[in-house]
Amino acid sequence: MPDLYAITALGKRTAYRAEIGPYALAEMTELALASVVLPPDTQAKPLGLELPGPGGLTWGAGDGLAFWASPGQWMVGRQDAAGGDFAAMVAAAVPEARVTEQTDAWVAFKISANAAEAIENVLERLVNLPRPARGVGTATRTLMHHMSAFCVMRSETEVVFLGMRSQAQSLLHALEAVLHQRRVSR
Amino acid sequence: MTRHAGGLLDRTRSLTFTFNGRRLNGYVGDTLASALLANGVQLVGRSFKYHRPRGIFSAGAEEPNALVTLRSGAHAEPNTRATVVELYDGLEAKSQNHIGPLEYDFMAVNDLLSPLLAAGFYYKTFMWPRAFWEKLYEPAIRRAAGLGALSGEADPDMYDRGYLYPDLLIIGGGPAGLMAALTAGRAGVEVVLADEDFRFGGRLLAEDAVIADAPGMDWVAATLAELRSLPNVRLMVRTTVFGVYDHGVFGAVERVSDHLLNADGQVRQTFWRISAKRSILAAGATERHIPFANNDRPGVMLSGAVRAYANRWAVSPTRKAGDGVAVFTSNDDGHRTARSLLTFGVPVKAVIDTREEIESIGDYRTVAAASVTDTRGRKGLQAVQVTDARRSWWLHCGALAVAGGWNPNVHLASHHRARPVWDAARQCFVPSGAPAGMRVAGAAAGEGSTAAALASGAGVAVESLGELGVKAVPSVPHAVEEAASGEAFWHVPGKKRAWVDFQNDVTVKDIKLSHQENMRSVEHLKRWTTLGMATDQGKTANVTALAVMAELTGKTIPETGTTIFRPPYTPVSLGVLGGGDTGAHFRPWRLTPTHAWAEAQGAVFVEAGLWMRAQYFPRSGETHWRQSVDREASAVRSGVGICDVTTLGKIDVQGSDAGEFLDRIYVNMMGTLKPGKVRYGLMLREDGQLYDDGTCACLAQGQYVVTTTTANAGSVFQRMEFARQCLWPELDLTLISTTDAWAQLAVAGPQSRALLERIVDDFDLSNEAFPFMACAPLTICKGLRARLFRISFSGELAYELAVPARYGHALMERLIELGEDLGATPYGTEALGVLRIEKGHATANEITGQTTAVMLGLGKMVSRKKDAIGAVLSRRDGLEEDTRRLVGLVPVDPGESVVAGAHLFGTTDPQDLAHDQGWITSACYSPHVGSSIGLGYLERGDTRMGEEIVAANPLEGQSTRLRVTSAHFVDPEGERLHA
Repeated sequence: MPDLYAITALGKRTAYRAEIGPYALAEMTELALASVVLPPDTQAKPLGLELPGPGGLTWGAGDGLAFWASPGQWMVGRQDAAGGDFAAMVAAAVPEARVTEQTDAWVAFKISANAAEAIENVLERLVNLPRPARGVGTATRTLMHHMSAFCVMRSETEVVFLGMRSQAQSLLHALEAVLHQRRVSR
Repeated sequence: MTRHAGGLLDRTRSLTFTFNGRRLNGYVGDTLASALLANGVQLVGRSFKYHRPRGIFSAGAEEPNALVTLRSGAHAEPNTRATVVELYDGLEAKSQNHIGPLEYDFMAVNDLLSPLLAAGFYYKTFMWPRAFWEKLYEPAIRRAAGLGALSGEADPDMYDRGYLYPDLLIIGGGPAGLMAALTAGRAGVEVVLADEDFRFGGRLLAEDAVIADAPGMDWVAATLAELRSLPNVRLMVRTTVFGVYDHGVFGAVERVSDHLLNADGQVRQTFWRISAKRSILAAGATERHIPFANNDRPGVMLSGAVRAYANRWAVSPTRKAGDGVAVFTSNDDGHRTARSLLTFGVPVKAVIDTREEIESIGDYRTVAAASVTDTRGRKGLQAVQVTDARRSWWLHCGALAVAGGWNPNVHLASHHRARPVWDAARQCFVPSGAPAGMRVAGAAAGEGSTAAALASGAGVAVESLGELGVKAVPSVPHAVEEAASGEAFWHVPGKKRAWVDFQNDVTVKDIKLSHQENMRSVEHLKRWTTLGMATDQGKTANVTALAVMAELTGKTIPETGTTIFRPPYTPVSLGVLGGGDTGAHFRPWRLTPTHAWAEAQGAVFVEAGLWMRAQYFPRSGETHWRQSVDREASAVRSGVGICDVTTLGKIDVQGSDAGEFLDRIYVNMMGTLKPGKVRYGLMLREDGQLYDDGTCACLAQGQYVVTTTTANAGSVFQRMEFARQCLWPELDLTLISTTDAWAQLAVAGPQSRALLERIVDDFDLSNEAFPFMACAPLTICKGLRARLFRISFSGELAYELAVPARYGHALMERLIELGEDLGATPYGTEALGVLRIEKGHATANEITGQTTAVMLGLGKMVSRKKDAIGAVLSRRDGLEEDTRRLVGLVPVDPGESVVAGAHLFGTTDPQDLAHDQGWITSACYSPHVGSSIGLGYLERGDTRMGEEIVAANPLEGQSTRLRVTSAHFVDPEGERLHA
């Protein structure tokens, strides 16, 4: 283990977490990410994950996830692996792939609620996409408050937004503002 | 009170509000206008130009007169139409545009001066002396004419935005819109039904219509109940669809809490962007009035509005209960108003109908073939003059309802520049050429009767659904047909002023004057008279004005044409368009991994695009930024400095063709770069000018890291992706931006190696093992993966060290801590700039898009052994022969300053364009040189070392003698780099 401490994308030693009305908003500081590019016509299941088609997401009950990023390219992640060399782990698992470290390129905020309607209320304020493009099992890149972000829909009560790490403060503000407004909306 | 029985009010819930400080009462369900009328308030404002007393004219969004300021302090909102303001407990309203009390406006003197204030008066009257226009005339006119005033304070309210993607957007919730929504909702498609009112029903709220043998409102209630039960239908009241944009995108504003005294944390308004596959415009129609002499007195109103106040709000629009109301009409609609008033016991003095042989439809007197030719009552209507073929007489009344026919609300159908067409049978413009996917229904299409509106709503819904591949069978209820005949009657001729556009005080005489002065096209008419240019956009005026102009020119109305319809349909606050992001959140920011650390050190930050970068780190005792910057720059030259350079773009390039790709992107050879090596590279624009520069590091075979300037990080990546995907898709490579993934710190200065040796894990940093322009992956601080590059922007022995971004903060802390004895000093962008100018390194100041590799002295880098973007055009005439070269500049008198942007001239040359020899690109104070220094492009600069020239700044009258030197003020031989 290195003898340097890590900080979060928000510049803190501990992950951000807040309860805002019916919502839980949490920074996923331990989410490790790597970009995986496969040669054409190559099939692979890095870390046992199915690599989905355009707009698709694989994120079951486990910690691993994969979503489509562009033709032949996926983002592969694991929820608890940010401390290690995740890219090396993926590269070892899929030697034929080009793997690029992406863990610290992104900040991830998870919004969860008990009811699907509560999440839908948030999504229609944040994500300029039709419902099918942001349904459960999708991960779609979009523009939010002038910021590029992936909207990752794990379930109808849980959505993860991946934004640029350097824009973590601005992204958090956008999310907090919407959640606070939804908290009081009648 | 002029309130009578009936209406759609909740009389169990009384509301208190103030108007000009006077406490008044209303009910839930009232608008501010209906509540004012219920309290006998007719006079609510003053007109724009003549300051004439004005009253409530309409009952909807078309209102030209009743503009008030709502709330106070920072929450004050001027120019709000009282007719669309939903009454709430504690509402505070004030009239506007008067000096002194509303009843005794000092500026009413303007009315006496009206002969001098005719159409276009300011173009004619205030021409001399010319200089007075901006300083005296215009400010005076603006003070005298006007609307409400802004508070001048920041908007304290919150706003947000949202996105909807319905299959079908229906604009307007009257009979046509409701019927369309019901048809589409039952068919199962996603429907959004939006209405600007706070209640659905449209004209059914204002009429005594009968649908399916029951009151129209019963049908509305049943329809809404069914729509609410459908999960695929979204009902949006208080929502104005204000504009139609490209690709089926609509702009809409939902007034979320405007109707609440205490928003309790809710946003005030939401800006919705609605992308609809199909849309139906069911926005209804606006009644037109008939101009006659002095038709602008408070108490003169649109007939449909009088009927709405009677039926929906249970109000007679007179100052005292029991005062009679007269009706002036050219069609059957005026008679419906008389009938409604009588239903509630309001005396109807007479219906004055322009048509011959017209009979009453109720117990009132009809004066056929007559018109209203004048009015009396300064602050409220007292009498109207009725004139028929034989005589004129005065008829006492407290209000006059005017019915001149209906204009379909074609606006949104014309937002893509389509012009509506004239329907001679209906005597109105109807939509034509609506935006793709839009259909128009109900009164907006000229189908104004309840029965026709219902049928039309269902019909267009079926058509729209059919295009979406959905079959629907509508069930249209039977509605009683009302009589709807009328004649075209555009104005009552006369010598006195007859208002056409109430809000901008445009009269029939003004239109005649415009015609007389040859301003006859509708566009000229509009601008000469300002007709239709007020906040109401002439909703009650435009068609009438066209008709008057047509009459004057002898043309038909369609020949006269219409002006262009543009968004927004009704005024939209800038706050909601901004979506609530103001102040610090106006735009997103990018923060470096050491931002929090720098903040704790008291750094001063500077914007660099979206990034916030530490500009310098002041220490106690330093009273001027130059002291901090000089100290930081000197620390780098003498010891070691550390600077966060994460903001520079980093692009990971991998693949078997990565080298070939980089050869085509950079003008110099890059494919030959060996693993473990870094090379400086230049990129050109397609036209051969310099585009960007940076380094390219080869980490392993087929794996490179390209660095870009901070400013061009995004655009270089975009350009490389374009080249990969579109220009050379056959090449095998992958591009990933890793700018944010790695925290990168520049460690620069003669002690940099000594400092790094304290953190690397078993890595040989000696000059032999890791020479200038080497790179390597390594670990530091007991196992942290890192990348080290031996590159230098300062000209000193220097490195850039990259670690995963989350460790950047702790790494900076560690380096400062471990380097204390070596003089480790954090430095910001100012010192960075000083150091690179001293070394003669280029940045965006030198690479401006108008400069070349040749000018930078790097022409030989453009390889002739291969092709690259911009290489061929860099050799064209005019670029290759450019003789300007980058040089260093020092003042002859060391006490003088070098000013960036100044232009360079020979010492004896005139300082004009013909003798311009170049310009200064960068300048700073150099602690190393001990004076101000600069870089600049100078004609034949490479051959003029030691020559004196003049830097001129004509803007500030500056002229400084400079000496031309090498651009490398520090270590021109590069010995320090290789130390």
